[in-house]
Amino acid sequence: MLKNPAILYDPLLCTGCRGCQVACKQWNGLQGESSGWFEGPSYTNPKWISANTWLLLQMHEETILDGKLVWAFTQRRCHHCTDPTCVSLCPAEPKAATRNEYGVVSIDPALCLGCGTCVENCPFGAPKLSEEYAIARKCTMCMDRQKVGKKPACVTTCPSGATLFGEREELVRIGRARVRKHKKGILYGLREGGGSSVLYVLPYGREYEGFPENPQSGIGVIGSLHRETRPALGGISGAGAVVLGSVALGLTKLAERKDKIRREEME
Amino acid sequence: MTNHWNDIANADVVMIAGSNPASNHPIAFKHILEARKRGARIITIDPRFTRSANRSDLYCKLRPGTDIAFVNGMIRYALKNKKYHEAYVKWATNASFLLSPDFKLTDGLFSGFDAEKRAYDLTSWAYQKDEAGQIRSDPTLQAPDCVFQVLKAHVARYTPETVADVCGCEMKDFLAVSEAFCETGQPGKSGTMLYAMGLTQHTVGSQNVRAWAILQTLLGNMGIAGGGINAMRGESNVQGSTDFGLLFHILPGYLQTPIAADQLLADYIKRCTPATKDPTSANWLQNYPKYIVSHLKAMYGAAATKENDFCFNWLPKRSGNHSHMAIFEDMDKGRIKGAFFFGQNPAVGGPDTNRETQALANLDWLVAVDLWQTETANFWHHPYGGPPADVRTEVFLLPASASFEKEGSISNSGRWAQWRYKAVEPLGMAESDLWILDHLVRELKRLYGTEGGRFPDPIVNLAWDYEGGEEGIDVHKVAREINGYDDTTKKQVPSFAALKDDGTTVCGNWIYAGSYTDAGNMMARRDPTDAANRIGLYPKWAWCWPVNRRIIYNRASCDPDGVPWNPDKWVVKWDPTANEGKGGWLGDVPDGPWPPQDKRPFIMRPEGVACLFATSGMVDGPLPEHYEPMESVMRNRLSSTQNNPAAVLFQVPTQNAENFEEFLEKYPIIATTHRLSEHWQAGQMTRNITLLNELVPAMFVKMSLELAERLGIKNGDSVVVSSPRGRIEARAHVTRRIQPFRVNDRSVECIALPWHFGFIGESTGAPANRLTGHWGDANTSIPEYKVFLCNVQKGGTA
Repeated sequence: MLKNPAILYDPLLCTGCRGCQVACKQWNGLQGESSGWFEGPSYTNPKWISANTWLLLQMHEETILDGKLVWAFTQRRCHHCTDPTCVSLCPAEPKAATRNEYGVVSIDPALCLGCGTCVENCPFGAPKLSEEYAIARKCTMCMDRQKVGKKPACVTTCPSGATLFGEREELVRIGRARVRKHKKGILYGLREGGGSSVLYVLPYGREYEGFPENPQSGIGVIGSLHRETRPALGGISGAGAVVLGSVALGLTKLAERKDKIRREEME
Repeated sequence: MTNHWNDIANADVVMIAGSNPASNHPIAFKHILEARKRGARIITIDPRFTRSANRSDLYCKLRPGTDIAFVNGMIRYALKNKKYHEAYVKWATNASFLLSPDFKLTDGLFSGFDAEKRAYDLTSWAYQKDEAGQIRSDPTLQAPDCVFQVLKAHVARYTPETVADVCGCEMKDFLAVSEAFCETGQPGKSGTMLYAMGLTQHTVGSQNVRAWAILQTLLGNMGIAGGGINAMRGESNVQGSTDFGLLFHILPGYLQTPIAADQLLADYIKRCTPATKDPTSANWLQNYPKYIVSHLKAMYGAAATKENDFCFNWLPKRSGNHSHMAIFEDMDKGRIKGAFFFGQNPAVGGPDTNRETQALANLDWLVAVDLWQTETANFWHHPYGGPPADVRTEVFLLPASASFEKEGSISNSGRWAQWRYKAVEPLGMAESDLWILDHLVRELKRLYGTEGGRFPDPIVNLAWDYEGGEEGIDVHKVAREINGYDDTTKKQVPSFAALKDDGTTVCGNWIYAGSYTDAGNMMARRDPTDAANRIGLYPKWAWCWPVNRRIIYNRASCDPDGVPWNPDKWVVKWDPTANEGKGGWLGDVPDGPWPPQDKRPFIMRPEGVACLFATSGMVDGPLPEHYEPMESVMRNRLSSTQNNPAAVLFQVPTQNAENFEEFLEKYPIIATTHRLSEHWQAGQMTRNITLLNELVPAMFVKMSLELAERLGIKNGDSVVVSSPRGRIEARAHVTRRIQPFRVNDRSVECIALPWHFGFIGESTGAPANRLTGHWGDANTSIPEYKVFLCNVQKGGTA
């Protein structure tokens, strides 16, 4: 068992094979979602993370970068924040959502009330209510595998090295070196979420990925994770939801947002 | 592959053309990413913006079926800008050889064409020879009739403007690709060429590969680390299956199938064994008689004697073309009574599936050997055809075990034979292919032995001595016979050099001699130690044919003195001090032991050199010439010969010179077929897995934003795609990853169809091959799956 296990995802090494999505489901015994069509952008399916899809490989295409077609891939999953909203807001006694000594955030199915507070407030939309079990479920960073010396399933299966597993310190070093090559590059998760255990190389910046600037603590400042498309690179900046994502909202506004998100999810 | 997977990491430039490894070889793509990590540039040329294109430094689109125009344009670029590796070209190719004055190319036709037979007489594609029978040459490469100058004149027509017009690409993109790739012509630089079905599934498929081979040879990229012409196989053991004579025209080890004219073994040997008078040519295939005789001994054992020509006449003689499409044509005509389909599903994967499915109904019996129910095993309730009761064919489905449920070897694209073990027991009544074949053969031998038959000898006398193991047939005994042994001492042969033509050696497949020796099963080796040259040869990992040579033509990686062109990534090198001063090669197993000056490096050709101009081996031209696909949106810009004149036609294409425009009005859109990461072949192994059906839930048609807008189609809408062969319904996937091409100053649309879908399984959809035609490549008869014309309309219920 590593001291501070972490995952680093680099979209520029990802080939979009979606082995991670399948391996996650296979290991965790999660059902396939048969929708009959690509519910998300490009080949993305299902549309968003669910109680049966803890890791979604999202494919955004047709973004023109310096006149070049880019087919952008990203993993949507629990970021395993250091300061996790799901833990701080969990009303169960004792808390169902906890962050363990390794920095892995999990929801204990035996303690979860199924109240949906974490579902409503996670800045990354990771925990989802399972209709079948009436509890919130999400990525466990394969703690069961880690305990027996194995890497998480998504990492083991990744053929291209886009998903790395290791000590957070080491992955931060690798990630920092990679983002340095890109003008707008940032290593997301270095500080965001209080410094999360899942790190992202974001070569084109945070807005491009639709990740919130300040995801941690209390009131969810949920990002624009549910939208169908993303703004064109270099041109339009921070349209709509992205701007919202970077601003802390009052509770009224938050309720509106939740409604909007639900509507979008229904579509 | 001339090279192998790990070797891709050695390349300075990786060319991905007619393939999509990020999608279709996702595990192997790590070798490409490793090359990039070491500083390599990645180039993709494809009609679609693929997952591979997405990870490439350079991408250039091209209209399906125009690869030759593109590559001939690159060859012109390399020659004109002196980017080729001159010393290599002079030493290791036929560039300096003089050609017969009778050779000509006239308006797209090479000399010797017989229009009635749709075939060439190759007599005029010949070298000039002197009185002693030696090929005349001009080492300065200046003579107008030398190969170098003939090639130069041939490609002169393929200017960047012409390439852009024909291929529908931007001229600047073509030039950027040419410049980047041709940089590897410098000594010490390497470029690898990775292809798959995108090159081969055309009426000019073999010539597509030839064009790249010519360019790779000019750039000195053959035989070196990080170079080569590398076919990425689409099945884990498809390399093994061709090595072992899967195709109709070859026996195991690429020996030729006998034809009617081969009345005696001597006739066959004379026809198949190349001769040369050049002392610098090793002409390895002069050993052909040893390989065929040892093979006959493996087939017929003690029954094969020198006196009876080693039972040569028991081998079936080929009467013509019996490729995939020909077999179905014969079925259609009632010439075939029964058929076995081992892991094959032509009702989805075959071209013109309507035609092929109807042909299946003419069989008396059909046996499908598969892991799942297939469309082929269920063709009789074909949802698009007539009532099942009308089908008289008796169908059997034998459950087969999967790769993890049986022991044996798998030969990968890089020619590495790797031994695998049984991990789990097969489910239910499933048995391995070997078990099924063993029971079949034993029963046939019994029946022919007791009841006789028209010609029982080859079956009754077939050597079949593999008894043992828990299955009743011992896979190790099979592997040992494939390797070969001395029939007198019963010792395994260490390599094919020990094989003889007198009947004293037995060898199932000469190129696998050395795979299972007295030292053990070499294919089972798992020692990850690299060789001294540290280029990832891993010579003790598994075993590689021929003779564990990891990079073939490797003597071409050195200059005529045996000094590597690239000292940092050397493959072999000549050490004059080795063997007590006699000298010897270091590194990879060399292409023969001779000192560098004694023999030229391309030992499998009678010339001893690589052929920029092919005097033999190709039936449709000694040089690649651009022809349009059988169905095309454009009249040939290079000549008035519209299509490959020697293409194999089992069906007369509807489009012709007279109705060209009329046809185009009806079918104005180019279509191409392809695979996905998420599904596999004809789909039975993946469309029954829910987690994969989640990723790609339905049959779809990839189309551009422009086409969708014009037809009022939204992403996800049902559309109807039709061709003269049939129609399918599928859902529209509207994307920028496919774009129209500029043809004759107008925009022509192209759609792309995955071909994995059929009507059986958890996820079903229309097979794309209901639209493809029954015609194919002149040399191989591979169907032209990769380009045809169609129409697209909104509608249907997909």
